[in-house]
Amino acid sequence: MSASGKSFTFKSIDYGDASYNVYARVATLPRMPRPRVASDNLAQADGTTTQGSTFDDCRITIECAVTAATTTDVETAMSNVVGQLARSQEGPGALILDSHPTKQWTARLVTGVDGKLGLNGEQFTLEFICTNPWPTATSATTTTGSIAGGGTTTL
Amino acid sequence: MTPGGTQLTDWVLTIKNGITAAASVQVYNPATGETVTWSNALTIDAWLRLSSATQRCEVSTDSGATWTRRNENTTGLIPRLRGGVSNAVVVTGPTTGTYSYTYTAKGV
Repeated sequence: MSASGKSFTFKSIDYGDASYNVYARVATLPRMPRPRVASDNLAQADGTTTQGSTFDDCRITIECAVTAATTTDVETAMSNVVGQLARSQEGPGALILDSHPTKQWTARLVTGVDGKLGLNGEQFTLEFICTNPWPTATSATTTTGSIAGGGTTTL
Repeated sequence: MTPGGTQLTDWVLTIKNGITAAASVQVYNPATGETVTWSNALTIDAWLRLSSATQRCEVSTDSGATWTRRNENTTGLIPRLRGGVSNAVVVTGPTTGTYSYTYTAKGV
């Protein structure tokens, strides 16, 4: 869990850590991705035919704020944040929101960081795209057992 | 077993054969209707690893240190798991040994 209470972890970097001190609020979190369905007119008949077995990607938007006691500390934290997020060209990574700690998305950052300066902090919005829209558990489940003697084993 | 989540989930099943060789191995998941039949001899103490994500069949004869791809004489699809419902996966063939499987629940 993050030092700040509500933040996020992306590519194993906890942005709630004191080095980054990011407070995050999830602005957009798709609860269920949109089914991708194609519809075509039926030739010489009434109605249409539909097909589809996939889902659209999902986008997660989080609003962030970095606060610190001094302007220098804010600048240091922002530099640390940007230094990590700038590795986005390395590909997608695991995104875990502190507000949903049991779920994990495979996400890619699709925004830059446009900071809006305040009196004692800086605000910015991040958007992530998840080409596989379904979140997974944060860890794998492993089960072991013995094979039945009769040659047929039910797991 | 009943995997968590709500979606079809990939998994890796490892069958560690015991002291009796198996002529073939079949894995059937009635929850998805998918079956794979691996019609090769699984020798004594050999391990067979099946991955539904990659559809790779691999054999190890050194307790998992090295793996060799063995997709020949294989029919069907290595079944996936259906999250949130019972998956009474049936493994037919080996009469001795152990198994282990790993998956990450999807659609949690």
